[in-house]
Amino acid sequence: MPLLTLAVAIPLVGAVVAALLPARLERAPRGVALGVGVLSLGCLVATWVRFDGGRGMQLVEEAEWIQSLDVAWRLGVDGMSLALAMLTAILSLAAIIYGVGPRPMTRAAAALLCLLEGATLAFFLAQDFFLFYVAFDVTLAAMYFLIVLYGEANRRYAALKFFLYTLVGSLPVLLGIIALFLVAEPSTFDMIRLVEEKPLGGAGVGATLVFLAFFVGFAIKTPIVPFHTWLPAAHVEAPTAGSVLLAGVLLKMGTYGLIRVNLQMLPDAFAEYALPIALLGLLSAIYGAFVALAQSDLKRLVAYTSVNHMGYVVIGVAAAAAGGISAQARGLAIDGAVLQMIAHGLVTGSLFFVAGFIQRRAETRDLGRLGGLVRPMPLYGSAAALAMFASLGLPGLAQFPAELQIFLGTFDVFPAVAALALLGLVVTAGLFLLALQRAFLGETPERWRALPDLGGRELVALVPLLVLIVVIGVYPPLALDLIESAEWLALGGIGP
Amino acid sequence: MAAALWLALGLPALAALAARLTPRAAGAVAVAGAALGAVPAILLVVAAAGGERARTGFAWLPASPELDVGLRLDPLSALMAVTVALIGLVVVLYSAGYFASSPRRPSALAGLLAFLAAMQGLVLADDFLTLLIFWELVGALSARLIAWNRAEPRAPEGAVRAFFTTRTADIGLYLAVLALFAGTGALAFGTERPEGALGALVGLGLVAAAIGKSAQVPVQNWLAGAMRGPTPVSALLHSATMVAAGVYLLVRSESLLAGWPLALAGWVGAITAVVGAVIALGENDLKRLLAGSTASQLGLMFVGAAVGGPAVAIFHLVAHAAAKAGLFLATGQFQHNRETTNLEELRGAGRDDPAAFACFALCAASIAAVPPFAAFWSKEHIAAAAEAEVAWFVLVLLAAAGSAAYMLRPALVLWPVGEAARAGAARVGEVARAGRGAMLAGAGILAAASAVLGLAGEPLADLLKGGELPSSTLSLALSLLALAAGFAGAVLGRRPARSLVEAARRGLYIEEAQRALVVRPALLAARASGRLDDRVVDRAVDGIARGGLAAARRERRLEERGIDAAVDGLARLVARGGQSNRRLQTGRLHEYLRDTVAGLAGVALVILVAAIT
Repeated sequence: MPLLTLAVAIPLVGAVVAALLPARLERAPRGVALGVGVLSLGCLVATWVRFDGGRGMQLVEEAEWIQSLDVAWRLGVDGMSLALAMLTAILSLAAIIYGVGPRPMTRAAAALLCLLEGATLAFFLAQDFFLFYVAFDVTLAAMYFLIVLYGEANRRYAALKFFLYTLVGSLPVLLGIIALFLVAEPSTFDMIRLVEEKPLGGAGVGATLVFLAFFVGFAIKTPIVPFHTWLPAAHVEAPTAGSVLLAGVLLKMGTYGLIRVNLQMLPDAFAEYALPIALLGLLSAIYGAFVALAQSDLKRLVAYTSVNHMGYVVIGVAAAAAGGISAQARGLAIDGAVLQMIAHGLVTGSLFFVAGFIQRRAETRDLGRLGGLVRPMPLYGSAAALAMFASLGLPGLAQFPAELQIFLGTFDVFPAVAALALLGLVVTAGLFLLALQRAFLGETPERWRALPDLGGRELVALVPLLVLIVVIGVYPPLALDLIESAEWLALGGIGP
Repeated sequence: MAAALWLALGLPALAALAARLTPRAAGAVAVAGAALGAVPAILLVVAAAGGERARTGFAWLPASPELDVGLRLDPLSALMAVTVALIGLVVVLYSAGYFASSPRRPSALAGLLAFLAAMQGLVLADDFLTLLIFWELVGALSARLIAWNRAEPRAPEGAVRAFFTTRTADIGLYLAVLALFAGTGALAFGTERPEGALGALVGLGLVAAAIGKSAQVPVQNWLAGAMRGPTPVSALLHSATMVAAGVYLLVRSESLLAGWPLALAGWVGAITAVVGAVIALGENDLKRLLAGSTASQLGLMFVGAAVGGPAVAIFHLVAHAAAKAGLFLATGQFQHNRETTNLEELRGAGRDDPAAFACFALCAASIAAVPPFAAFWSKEHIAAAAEAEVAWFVLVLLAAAGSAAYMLRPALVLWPVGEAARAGAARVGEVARAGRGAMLAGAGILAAASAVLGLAGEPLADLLKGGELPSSTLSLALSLLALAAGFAGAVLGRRPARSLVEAARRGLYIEEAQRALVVRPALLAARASGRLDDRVVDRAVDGIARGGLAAARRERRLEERGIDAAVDGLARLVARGGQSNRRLQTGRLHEYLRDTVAGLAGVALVILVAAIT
């Protein structure tokens, strides 16, 4: 059974079905979306069962599409693709469970969530640049409409900014793709071949230009400072489930591209720019943490910590690309970077739920106005504390093994960068502790005493994420055995 | 023994869960869990005494087998585990009583048990990675316990402060781990320090982490803030076990720290020993007084680790753990009776509750180093070892005199000699009666331990292969002299100069310094970057977009008025031309002929002109 194709096709078909449902079936759109989420996740779990960790890219499904350009429907998985696809399916399901917009979920909302899931899965599973690029842009459109239709007061501005900024970023990516297509002999959009053959694998002006084109696009998506300002705007205005998917999944498209394209297809050009890019990652990590410290809006705070945490990913990838790194350290850095993508997806997704839950109840996310929330809402308080401690990198929770591996790997080539990046740990610890102290501990102001604690739907959406955070934190091999970067990196011809 | 290792950690963790899930029986469940958890710890120390060693672990970062996590059985880990388990058991027993009338008792007991599990992980860890994991976990669990008391408005602040300060110092441990891995390719205990800068990072990082966890100068202040947590929490975490982890780290990393790093730790310890004593002398709150004392005693252990070796430091760690935990438990009893820990308001509280006071006095005698109580012996070894370094020796003796004074002072307040007992003495309230039996039992056990643990020195040194414990007549004589001087000072009511006390009370202004030098600049930097982000970076992006829009508008205008107009104009021109042309097409042959001739003439003219010029 073509499981990967099904995993992508089910949400896409589901989107059409949801959009065409008769209006009188009020509950049907949510039902369709839930079914899509469960089935798609099921396909990926089944893929995981068939997946052989020691083999790199595999389970490729291929169908001819535009023969003259060697464009094909090519899907395949290695550890990174499968891990990110599963993260996408899990977070999408959580987002569908919580829902966007009015309840019961409208046809448009259900269709958009399904479309977003299908396009994102297509992006992570695509092994063909044509599909890769189309999926990249479709996610943009889906997210744009989610923000514009269901966002907060200033949603038009934020959505347009997000759309334009990322679209501008996708243009150099398109140029890069065309360049790689033209350089390959014979010309192809087949990413597996491009990874293996590396037509621009060496150094040189051409490779550098193509490298920079891809880098700019992915840097905006990740986002790397100073290309990040679309992110807080979009997050603040997006509906809760939209923020969860935007931060949890869509940001990873940037770092995924950085690894899949820049690192695997353009290794020598990356080696040349490894240090400056590691420094940009460091800047993101430190600057993001400091700006987050200055925020009093919980959602903006979480948004900026994403800049910090994605900065660690960039540092890890850049270190892995550097010429002088040992094989073991490279493995640590990339394992760490990919695990950090997964961990950050779960943690930040949880944190946006946390911010959304209080927004829905108190109609504010201002830490200065909130206070003593743990008393009326003990479950909520525990969940928030767990997510925040995970985000500040506490051992036993998912981000610790990821960040530790990034630091261990990076220290091998860029010891100063790794050492300075530790500063981010201090600042994030400070800002989350302050947030906990201000919003959750202490006296409960009169107006918050009657806030209801988390309800069924909220718990069903959030608790699985928290469980995964704990499980991966306590026993990271669960995720790392799947990621197994050494296999696909070596197959891609990087390293020894 | 692998099973015992995992059980020592796993049983308290399971008990924490069980206590949380059975709120009615939480007390019994918690005590049973802590007691069960002590069994494997005792088995471990027996096995270690029999010469057994064991290691158990599993792959944690599968691509790097050097980074497995695991637990180990050796004399040091077993000894620490049994200390943690037994003191933990006593404190949990006491807590079952202390929290008897609180509706949130299950949460407190579960927190204590979870802490016990993490602490066992810390002391049983087989390598620096495992140690780092549990090192951070105890910090976080400690913050949770400090913030437990929702009636105490400043508890959250104390919790945040404690966790933030120790975590900042933990960056040292992270750095040491990175440098050690880069230098040796592994994170095993017992390796040599790498050469050069990596070695310096390892040494500095480990000492910094130890300083943070053990509340040594210059970050001693977080411990006073931690006193806003419930008293049993202070007893277990902030005196007996968690804060002692810094000392354990120094001992565990002895081979990595040989040379200047240990000397640095010794200096920090010797200075903190005196500073902590001054703070204790200046405090007017019994718990904060005890916190100052804890920092001071931990400083002595640092000195012991630096010059005396593992056995000297660990002996004092054990003796201090029993006595100081006992002091806190007795204090908790007074606190229940009087609902305060302010020393002045506790005047006569000992006389009201002689049983609790007896426990307090025994433990205080041990900390004050009155022979033959436990800490007298352990401190004597530290002083004797410190003779090698005159400055440290002087500081240690000063700290000893201070400890005699700061222990006698509260004792004299609790049991004012010469004042008549108050009328209607035993003012033991309703709240205080609940759970009193369990509380007294806990304090009593630790008082008894403080009386007899002095005998543990030799066997402990044997177990740790520490050889003879250092001892000398000079240090013995001077220690006794310091004791007498301290007592005399306390009896005469002499306290250090007011400015010194004030300085000590405010933590030597280090809090202010930290705020001015670290916290405020960090917050300012944060605010500045926040503003930079909103006003410059974001505006630049919007500006570019706006610029694009403006360009587009200009384009549009140009389009409408320029290009479009031009096109329109052209079209109009063509139309007009067409119209005028229509006039030409009349269908009359002679007119066509005329036009043709005129046209030909025109062409000929053009050619002619071209030919001439």
